Amino acid sequence: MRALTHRITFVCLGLSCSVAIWWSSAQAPAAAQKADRAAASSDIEGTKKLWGALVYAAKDAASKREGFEDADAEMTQALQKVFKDYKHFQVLGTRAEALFKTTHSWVAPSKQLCIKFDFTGLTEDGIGVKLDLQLWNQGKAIVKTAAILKPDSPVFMEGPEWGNGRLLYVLKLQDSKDDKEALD
Amino acid sequence: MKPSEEQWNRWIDGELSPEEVEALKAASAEEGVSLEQDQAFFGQLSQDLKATFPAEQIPPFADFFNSHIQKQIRDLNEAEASKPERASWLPSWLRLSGVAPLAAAALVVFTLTQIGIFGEKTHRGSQIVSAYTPDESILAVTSFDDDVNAMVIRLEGMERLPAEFDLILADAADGLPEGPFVVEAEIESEPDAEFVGPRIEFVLHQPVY
Repeated sequence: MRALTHRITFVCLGLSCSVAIWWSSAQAPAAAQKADRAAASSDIEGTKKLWGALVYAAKDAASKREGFEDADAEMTQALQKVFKDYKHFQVLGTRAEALFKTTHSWVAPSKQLCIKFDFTGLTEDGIGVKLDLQLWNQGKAIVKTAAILKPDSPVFMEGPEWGNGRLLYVLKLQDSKDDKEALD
Repeated sequence: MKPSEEQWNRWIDGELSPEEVEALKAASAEEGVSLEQDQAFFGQLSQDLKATFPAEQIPPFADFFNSHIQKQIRDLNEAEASKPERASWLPSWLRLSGVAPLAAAALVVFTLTQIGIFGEKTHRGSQIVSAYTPDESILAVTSFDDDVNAMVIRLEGMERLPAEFDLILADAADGLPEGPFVVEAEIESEPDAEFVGPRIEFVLHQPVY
């Protein structure tokens, strides 16, 4: 019995040490690249954009707005999963603005309901971008957020109800070369 | 009843009380055994043994036995001393048989939890680090939707916009400057007006040498 408990102890300690060594070795290159990526945050200025779409969500076809196209199938499917009360999604307008640290920018498909953002730098892993995101409605900031946007991971922002539907914002990080690319 | 061997031995050694001796004699008489004869036989045997062997005798090769006994004592002491050394790498409170493996297992779980392999999963998508609503009547609720890998901000308490509300949609190709039309603050400033404020007087203090 004593021998068995000693074996279990040795195995657990050995496993723990191995995992700790592996993890520390995996973190070392990341830590070494951290400074480089932080320095590179200024290099990506203007190369990435914040893409935004103002979307009208309707519960039934009768509530849809005339003159606007439906969102593509992928965006519709994603929005239906999140906003389960709504079946139809129309894109009222889209805009893409480059990220610059020196000044704030606007993603404003609508002049009444728009997004103000400040680019504050890259995340530590160098993949995401840090943004101060604000939703403005009729000249007033409704919500102010500190956000981290990652590629292929949009932000869905619920706006006010409008008529029989609801206004939504879809925000996505986009490379400049993908200006005309729709939501992934 | 036949007397037991223990009673017999105690009687031979003279340890029985008079009452017990009487009881033993009665039991022996029932069995047809004479205690006097036995007592005489063993008494004679004792005297013969004492006459043949001296009460004290110097053992042969006494130094050999002494050294042999001392060696055995040393071996026993060394064996006792070596036991704690084998377990000395563990704290005393961990030497209990069940505590050490439990502690080691807990260490493994803690390590895996700390590096994110075990325990609560964290998503690698977009995040809302903080959210603030200047209007206290509006509440911002943030969540991450794993199915669509998206961050969701829901705003509760916003006033409904009427259907006839004009969103003033911008045309992406119109070339107008970005930003809302309404962000125009009126700043009342009169640069030519006389400054009114506290008067500051400078007094020069001459040092005294």
